[in-house]
Amino acid sequence: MRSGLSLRDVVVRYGSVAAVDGVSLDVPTGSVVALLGPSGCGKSSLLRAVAGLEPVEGTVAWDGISVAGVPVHRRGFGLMFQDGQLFAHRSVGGNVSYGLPARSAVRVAELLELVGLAGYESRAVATLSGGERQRVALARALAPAPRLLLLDEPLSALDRALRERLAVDLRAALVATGTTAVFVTHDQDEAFAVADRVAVMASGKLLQVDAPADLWSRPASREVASFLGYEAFVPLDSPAAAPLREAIGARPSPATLALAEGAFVVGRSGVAKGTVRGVSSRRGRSEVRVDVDGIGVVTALGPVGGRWAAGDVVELAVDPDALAVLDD
Amino acid sequence: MARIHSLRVVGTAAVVAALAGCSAIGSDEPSASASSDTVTLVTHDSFALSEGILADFEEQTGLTVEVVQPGDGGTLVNQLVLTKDAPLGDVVFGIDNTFASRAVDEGVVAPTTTEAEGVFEGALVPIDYGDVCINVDHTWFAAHGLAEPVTLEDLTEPEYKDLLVVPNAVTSSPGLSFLLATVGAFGEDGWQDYWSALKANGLKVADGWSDAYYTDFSGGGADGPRPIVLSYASSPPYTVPEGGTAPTTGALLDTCFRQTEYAGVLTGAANPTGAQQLLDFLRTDEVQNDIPVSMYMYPSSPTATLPAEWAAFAPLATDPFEVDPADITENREAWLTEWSDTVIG
Amino acid sequence: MTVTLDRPDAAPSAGASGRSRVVAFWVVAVAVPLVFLGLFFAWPVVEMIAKGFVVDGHLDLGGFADVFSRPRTWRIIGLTLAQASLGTLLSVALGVPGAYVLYRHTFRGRTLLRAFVTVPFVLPTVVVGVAFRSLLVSGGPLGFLQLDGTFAAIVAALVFFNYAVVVRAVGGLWERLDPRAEQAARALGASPWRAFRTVTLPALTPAIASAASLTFLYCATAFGTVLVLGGLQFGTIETEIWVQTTQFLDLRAAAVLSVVQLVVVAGALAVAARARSTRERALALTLPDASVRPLRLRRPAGMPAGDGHALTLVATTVTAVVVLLLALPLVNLVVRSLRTDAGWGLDHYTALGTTGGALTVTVWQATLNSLRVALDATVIALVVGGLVALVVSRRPRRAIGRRAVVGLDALFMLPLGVSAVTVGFGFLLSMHHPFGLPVDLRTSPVLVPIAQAVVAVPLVVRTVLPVLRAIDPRLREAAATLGAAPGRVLRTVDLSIATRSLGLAVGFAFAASLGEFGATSFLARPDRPTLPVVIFRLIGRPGPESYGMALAASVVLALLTAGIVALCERLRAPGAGGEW
Repeated sequence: MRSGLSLRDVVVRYGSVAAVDGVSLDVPTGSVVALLGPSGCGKSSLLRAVAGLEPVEGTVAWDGISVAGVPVHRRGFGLMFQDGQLFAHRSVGGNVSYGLPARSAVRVAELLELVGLAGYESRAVATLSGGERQRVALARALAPAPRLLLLDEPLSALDRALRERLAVDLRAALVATGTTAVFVTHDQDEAFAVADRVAVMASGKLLQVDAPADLWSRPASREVASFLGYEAFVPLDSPAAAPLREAIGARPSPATLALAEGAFVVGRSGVAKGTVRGVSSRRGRSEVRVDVDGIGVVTALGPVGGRWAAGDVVELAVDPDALAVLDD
Repeated sequence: MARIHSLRVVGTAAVVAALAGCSAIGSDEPSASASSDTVTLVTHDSFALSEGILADFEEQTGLTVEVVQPGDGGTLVNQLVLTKDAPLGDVVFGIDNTFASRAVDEGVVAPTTTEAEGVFEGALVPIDYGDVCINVDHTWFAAHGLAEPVTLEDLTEPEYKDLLVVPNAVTSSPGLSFLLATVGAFGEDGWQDYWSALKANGLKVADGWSDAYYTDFSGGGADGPRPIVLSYASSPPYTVPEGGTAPTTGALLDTCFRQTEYAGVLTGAANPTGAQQLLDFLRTDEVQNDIPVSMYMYPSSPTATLPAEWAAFAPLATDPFEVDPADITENREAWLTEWSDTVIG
Repeated sequence: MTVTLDRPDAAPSAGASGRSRVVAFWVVAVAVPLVFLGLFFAWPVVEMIAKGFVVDGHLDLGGFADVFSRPRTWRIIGLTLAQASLGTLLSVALGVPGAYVLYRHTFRGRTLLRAFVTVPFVLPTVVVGVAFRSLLVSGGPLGFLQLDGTFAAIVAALVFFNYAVVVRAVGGLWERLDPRAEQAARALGASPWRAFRTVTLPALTPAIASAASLTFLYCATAFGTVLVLGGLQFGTIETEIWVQTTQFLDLRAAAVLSVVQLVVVAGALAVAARARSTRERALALTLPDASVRPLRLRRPAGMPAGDGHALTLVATTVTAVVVLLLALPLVNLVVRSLRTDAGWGLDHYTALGTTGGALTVTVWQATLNSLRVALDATVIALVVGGLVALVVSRRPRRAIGRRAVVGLDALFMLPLGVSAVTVGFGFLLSMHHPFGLPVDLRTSPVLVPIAQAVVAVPLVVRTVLPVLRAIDPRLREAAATLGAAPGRVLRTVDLSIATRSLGLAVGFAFAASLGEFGATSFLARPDRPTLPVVIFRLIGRPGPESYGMALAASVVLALLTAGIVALCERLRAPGAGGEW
């Protein structure tokens, strides 16, 4: 018997369209899995199906027992929405205590402290900022101690800095409470920050499920790689790939080599040359769009304070961590 | 914010609490219809007797009287016709001579044992009557130095142009009475021309009696524009000014139609004995003396006494116009349609 | 820190009992209103109409040919449609600026004004008729307009009654409409008028359609107003049914006309439903505070010309004129109630403590009777209307379910569109020992509040439904995933949020049944008269005292109504508008 959540051949249909098309996935007790994919890939539908909010074909089971006949409120699966869906007619405390079997002030205080909102019990929901609302939503979702917590893009409505901070807090809260969780997002940084394993989804199907590091270093397909942020693909046996092959110690083969942003680094000396097409700056570091013969336009990283103009030819070094060989 | 909310809750609670004790359904004693110690009187909206009178009846007979009032005069008879297989009560009061024939023809009322003058077809006992007459505003005519009209024909004279208002014959029972007065006066084939002449002379048709009397009539207390109105012979006493000795309006006794209101035992009454007792009670002096006071009609019983001001200011027509009730029943719809076509257009 | 969460072993056995309880609840939620409507509306109406079509046990539809061959019938149908359409059109044209001023702006006395414009809607027609006509009659304050007895006077009165319907429905939505969509249009180069026409107006369409359909129903079935102000020359289907039934007992003609009326009403409802559904979508709503501005007559400093201030001024002027016109008959009523034999005084009000010589109860007792009956009617209307709103607010997955929901919505609007005479007479035919029960409901006092509730239910539905519809379905899902059983979701989400609009629903149901004098007047009422009945009796007697008392009693009824509406307006939570 498997512990935790297991999905077998799950299909969710809206009319004749299958939003989720034969997904199988296991989420062992205590682990956090991120469902990563572009908008409309079916990840939210899958989440709602697990919660019991959509009719489903295939098997959704917990600890090996199907939950098909179990209504939403008895599944013990919590769900946290993108926009929180707080009860505006209840106070913060009233929201958090909603799912508690008995209204316990101590428990509410504990949970609010867990999400960094100690003392917010009597605040009206309308007075909260966006980040505070999501924290309350998290506390509310954790309150009934769900066997499984489903999080539907809980951070995507927030601004970037807040999102990155909350992702860390979220991971901490899930780990502190030992909560099994499925986390839906379209942001790979967020997925990697929160999850033990990441499942990449596209067009209703699961493409790959792996730990973040494995996923990054060995994306299963060009599609997965593209979604993770790999931006250029070359055959491993092409002449342009020679310096890259060297950097990772690979032999020429018909396999495809994927280059993420930063696969090339602009430096004084290098193993390849590229023509500058444009420059932008991110957190002080320069991102230089360079055109490399046989590879195309890629994003290379440059040192702080570097100055380039379009048309300059620059030397490029290789960062092996931003390269991956695809299996196909 | 929380305080406002709790104020709201308290406010709502207070309103609910204040009203909770006042439910009409909750506070009702169960209705005891169809029981032999109850007698149900079905009547129209204008029925009223002074306090204690029905209680006297209950005391004398040990019966309980229930009063139900399903509508006004004409509506009442039609409702009784529709429900004759399962009558609404035991006794009906308020069928007038314009509907009496229909009530009897449809078998709504049962034969009665009450003996009185004027019992209609052995079933309907006259309880009260009144004359529907043209009323004039004495004050207005005095102020304008105009002689008051006297007869129906006078109303078509040019000097009375735009001065008359009458209630609609289709929607108002005094309106119908006036139509019948003209039928009685000019014959079944002559009344149409009379109405055409009235219309040509600026006749105004109001919806109901109250509308005509209070809005259009100059003597009704609201200073309307028209000094001649169709009303009752009993209306003038109510226009005696405070401290005055004579009414400011008067009825034209040569323009009247007599309305008689009947009572009868309903066919299929659950308590026919009690019904007959109540019917007889309506003819006693106790009720008959109260009728002018509470229902503004003349008592039918010859032994009843009239209030002093009625004797002085509300004389009855000596020779009111009449139309045979059977004729009325037969021609009501045709006459009213014709009247509508002639007057309303 | 470590938080220990005792993870309960959730029972995977769903319990078929839980699911069947849910099913049972919805069955009851659908069945209770349907049984109520069937019993106290459809059955009486069908019985009454059948009486006209079934002759000696045989169906006889000859009445149609007969009635339709009368030119009068076609004139009446034409007049009904013309009156109702014009009344509706004008009510909307005047009500939309009114909604803008009363709901999109703040100023001193706004709550009072909102309650005030509602008063005409709930006043008995017999009172309004007198107040209105005495203004228009030649020699009256507005006699120079020569409107007495004209078609225009009827339409004016219909607008007088229904202005509040539009203002409330449209205002309730408008005050919560996110102003940023309009601002975006302005930034894209649209003039204030174009921005209103292309962005705001379409967003308001569901509310306008809903208000227009209500108004149309009220106008098409107006009875007392038409008779008092126009007489039979402007007869409508409603007045004709009344004449045929109560005067001629021509049930065949009445039945044909009732069917015609049903067709007209159903058509109007279908048009409104279409307008609503093509427009009904999740609107961006905000709290009222975000969109409401203080009303300024002078252009605020820093606001350039052509920035929409002129529109505000026009709307304010229109509304001010309308409010004045609404006030005229009401003020007239008050003034006349104060006029006595000896000049001016409160004599008529003092007389309300007496039986006026001829009533069976004092006016105050009648007021108490009215309040009691209205309380019962309100409770019934809330339960039935609340359930209807709840059911109709659902969006079933299957198309057939969605259609059923739309049908149910329309079904409960019908009582507003069917003649009170047909319903009232139908009660007499059907309520004698219903289902063989040993009660004669026809003469039971219970029937009065029930008849009033039938008319109040649509108001409750239209008030509560939009609030329920505005609830994000994910809010219910959130509650369910937190472990709330369907019953608890209903209680803590739907009911909790709808309660905020219940105050308003209560107010309207209460006020409507306080003033109801349609179907009630045909019921075999026990001798416990309500306030409108007493007013009707008083006004039907000669003598300035009775007349004065009737006017004073009407003022009391108006004040009572306004007070209740104002109170409920205060009890209403911000933003819990309702469609009207």
